[in-house]
Amino acid sequence: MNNIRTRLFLAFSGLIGLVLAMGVVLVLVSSRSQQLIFKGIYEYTQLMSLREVAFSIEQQWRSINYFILLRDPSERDKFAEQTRIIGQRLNDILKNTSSEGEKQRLTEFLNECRKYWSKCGYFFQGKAEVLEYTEKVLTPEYNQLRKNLNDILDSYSQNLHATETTIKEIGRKSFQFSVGIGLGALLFGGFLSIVIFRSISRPLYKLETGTKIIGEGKLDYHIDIKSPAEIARLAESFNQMVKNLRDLQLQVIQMDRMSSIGQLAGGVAHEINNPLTGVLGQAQLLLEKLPADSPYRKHIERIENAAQRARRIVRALLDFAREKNYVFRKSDINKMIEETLDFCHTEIESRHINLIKNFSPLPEVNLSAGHIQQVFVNIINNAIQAMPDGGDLIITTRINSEKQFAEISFRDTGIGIEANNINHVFDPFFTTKDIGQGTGLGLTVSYGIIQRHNGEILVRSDGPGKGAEFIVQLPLIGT
Amino acid sequence: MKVMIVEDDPDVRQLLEMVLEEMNLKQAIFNNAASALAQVEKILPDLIIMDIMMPQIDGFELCQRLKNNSRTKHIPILAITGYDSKENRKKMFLCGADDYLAKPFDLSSITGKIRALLGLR
Repeated sequence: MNNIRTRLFLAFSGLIGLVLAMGVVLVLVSSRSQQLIFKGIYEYTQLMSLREVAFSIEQQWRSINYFILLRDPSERDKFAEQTRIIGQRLNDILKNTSSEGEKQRLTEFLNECRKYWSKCGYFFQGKAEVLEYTEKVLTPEYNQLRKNLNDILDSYSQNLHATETTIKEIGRKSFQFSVGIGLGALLFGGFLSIVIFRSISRPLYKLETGTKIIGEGKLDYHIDIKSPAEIARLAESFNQMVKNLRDLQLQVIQMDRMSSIGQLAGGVAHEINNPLTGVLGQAQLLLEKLPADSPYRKHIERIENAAQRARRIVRALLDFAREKNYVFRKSDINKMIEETLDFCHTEIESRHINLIKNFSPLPEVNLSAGHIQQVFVNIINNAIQAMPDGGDLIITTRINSEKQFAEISFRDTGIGIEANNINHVFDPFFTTKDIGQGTGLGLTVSYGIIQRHNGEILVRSDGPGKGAEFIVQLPLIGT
Repeated sequence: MKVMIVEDDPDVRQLLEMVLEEMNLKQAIFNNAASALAQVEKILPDLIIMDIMMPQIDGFELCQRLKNNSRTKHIPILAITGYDSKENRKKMFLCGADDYLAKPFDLSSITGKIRALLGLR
């Protein structure tokens, strides 16, 4: 039920089911009505035939009366004609009757008629005293016959009436049922439309609002849609796209910041170098002239040292500002780390740092060795400085197969990084070291170098006193 | 021996003056390339120390002009700069400079280079 396709499918299936059910019921109802109409027609036909029989019997009775009064022999022929008609009608009715009870009743009636007719034949032959015979024999017979026929007519009439009532009832019920089902389908369809419309339109509205908010520049806005699945997937893709955009924006801001600071640093360095040349040169000139035991010597030496420190800072600034030539070559990262460690060997030993190397075999990576080495030096130096009383420096190299990265992790057990500072470690001039210990450019430079390699440099720390981990990721292809 | 200095920064100019004085070398000092070019043929120094980043005519152009002039092309040139880079260094040598030094420099470096370029011990 979580996706649009299933919801629409279920809704349409429900509606189609309802319409089909309605259709089946209507077909059944109309077939029953048709049967009843045929039955009604049949009953009506039988009733009409029986009424003809009744009429003929009345005609015969009239012929008997005329015969008594007028002695007209043609009445005998009319009587015979009516006898033939009655016989024929009753045979027709019998032929069309399927009910055994009915057949028996009609046969009995026919036999009664025959008996009556034979008595009438006796009457017409003039074998009896006409008036008396009529009064005593024929009249009761005729009345009985009429009564029996009326009973039959009544029962046929009642049947026809019952059938008519049933047909009307079915018609009424079928109309009510059709209206009911129609209204039900309308309500059900309306309800389904509202439910489906809301379940689709609400998340769409949410998505539209979200995209508007994001479009206005709020890149940290998250569109939260759980259902239906299609829109949820769309929202998730959109969120992912916005996240990528945000990361890219942060990168651009960081690079832009670095670039502006680089330009500024370059200009400032040039300006400072001139007066610094004067300070350093003059101090050195003075030192050359002063006798070895002069009490001023130590002051001048301090000036020279301060100038030398300023020179190092300016050099670092210039290194940062200047983009040295990147020369990409296939290089062995494990070997490069070993070389860097050789370089820092004395520091590591003097600080009693326990070095643990977990190197995995890595393919050669296309990189600018001088620059990457500078990154390694910066990170290792930071780790050494973070462990003034010793500790563990664990260097791990591995392939992150999923992302196709060579991953180099430098983990120390040093002073760690405060949560507030962790987002600033790559910012230019950000340093927590004592004055003179760092320029705040080492990790900024490293960040820039790794960016140039299309890689990533990440930092993790569980907080002060809990060490820190720097992870460098370099793509195995595409550099 | 005479050394010509072309440097727009007073601090550096002053230091160079003092260094040359310490080395007992004569000096001709200019704070811009145009006046140095106007005088160079008259002075014909044994060494020219020049800054690279100067207003109007910079060190690259000055160096090129001196090396293109038959009367001055033999004079060794020591270029100094506050904005040290591989590119600048390469460009300066292509313009004909004989040596190159980044500011701020140690006294020993500049005196060493001056001696070498003048052929002194």
